[in-house]
Amino acid sequence: MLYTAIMIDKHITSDLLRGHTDTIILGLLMSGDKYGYEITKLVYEKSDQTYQLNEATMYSSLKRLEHDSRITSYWGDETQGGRRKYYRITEDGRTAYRVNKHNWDAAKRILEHLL
Amino acid sequence: MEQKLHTFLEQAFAPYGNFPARAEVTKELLSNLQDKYTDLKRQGLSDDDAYRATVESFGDAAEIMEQLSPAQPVKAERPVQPAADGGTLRQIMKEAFRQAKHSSSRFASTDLRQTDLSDSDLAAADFSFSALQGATFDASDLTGAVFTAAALTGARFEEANLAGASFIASDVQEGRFANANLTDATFKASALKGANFTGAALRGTTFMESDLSGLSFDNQTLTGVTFERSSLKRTSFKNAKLMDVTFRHSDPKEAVFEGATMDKVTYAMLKNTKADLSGVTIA
Repeated sequence: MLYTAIMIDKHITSDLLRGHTDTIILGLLMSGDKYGYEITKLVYEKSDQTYQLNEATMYSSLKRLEHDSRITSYWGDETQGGRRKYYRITEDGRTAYRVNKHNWDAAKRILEHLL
Repeated sequence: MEQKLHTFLEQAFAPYGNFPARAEVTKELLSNLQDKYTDLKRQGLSDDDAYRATVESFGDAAEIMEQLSPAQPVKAERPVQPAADGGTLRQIMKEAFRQAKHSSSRFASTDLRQTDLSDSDLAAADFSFSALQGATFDASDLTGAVFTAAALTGARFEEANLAGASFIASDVQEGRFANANLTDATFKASALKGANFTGAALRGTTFMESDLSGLSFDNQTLTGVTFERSSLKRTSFKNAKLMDVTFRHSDPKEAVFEGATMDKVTYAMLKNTKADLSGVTIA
């Protein structure tokens, strides 16, 4: 029973987090350009190994952000191993991040009172 | 291993054929998966375990395809700006939908409560996850439109063409479908309490896992309609004509068929479910 409860809890949490994928990625890019797996790994590490952003979710988020001119991308020139695509946040992206962060802080305050 | 991961991606995208960005997409995803695989190996996982963990965390290719569809989604998440007068807002919405339609785009997750979208060309539009309570779609072309998890309480679809449209997991209570064309339309896992289907064309229409209790199909002609795992408590088919209608796991025992006309097959099927068929004419 307890096991089931935890599973459901994790599922809901991940749904909640998914809605914030764009902002999470923008937040990570605030500190510098990053490539795909680096983002996945940082999400995992920064969440104390509790949240795994899957490839498909991350990739579709990156494409959406790129289409909305919030990030730009370029292929790196790795001398060894495969080439990687890097993402860089734009001014629009920084603004979007600040707005989303502000909205989240506001929502968080409200939820803290209500839940 | 690169080959194995490459094969995995090929399979994941196989259902989508050769879409334009495919090479670019798989190239980048392959590099991500390889990075992950290498990292897991470095952490001491065996080849098999590392491969399994890598592909298991890939997720759903459909999510990527949704983002890559030829036209990018219009910015439907942006709230509708209040216009000075309703007429203007209506024009803006209509224009937005017209453009969205031409770019075969989707405008999911939109707040369109009480919006007037009558007489609009909205074929194949995607209204999933949208708030459409009380919206009006009268006489609009909604052929193949998709309403997944949409809030449509009291929405009006009178005279609308909903051929092939689908309402899945949506709240369509008090929905008004009078004289709408519901040919091959699907209602699945949706709330239809108080919905009105007077005069609607019901050909090949499917009602699945939906609560149809108390609804009236009186005096209507139902051809090739399927009721599957739906509640039909006190659903009324008085004086209706039922041709080739299927009732699967729907328990029509308490449905009302008084004065209805039906073909032999439909009659036999209903007879088996112990439905009350007194006053029914076999055509």
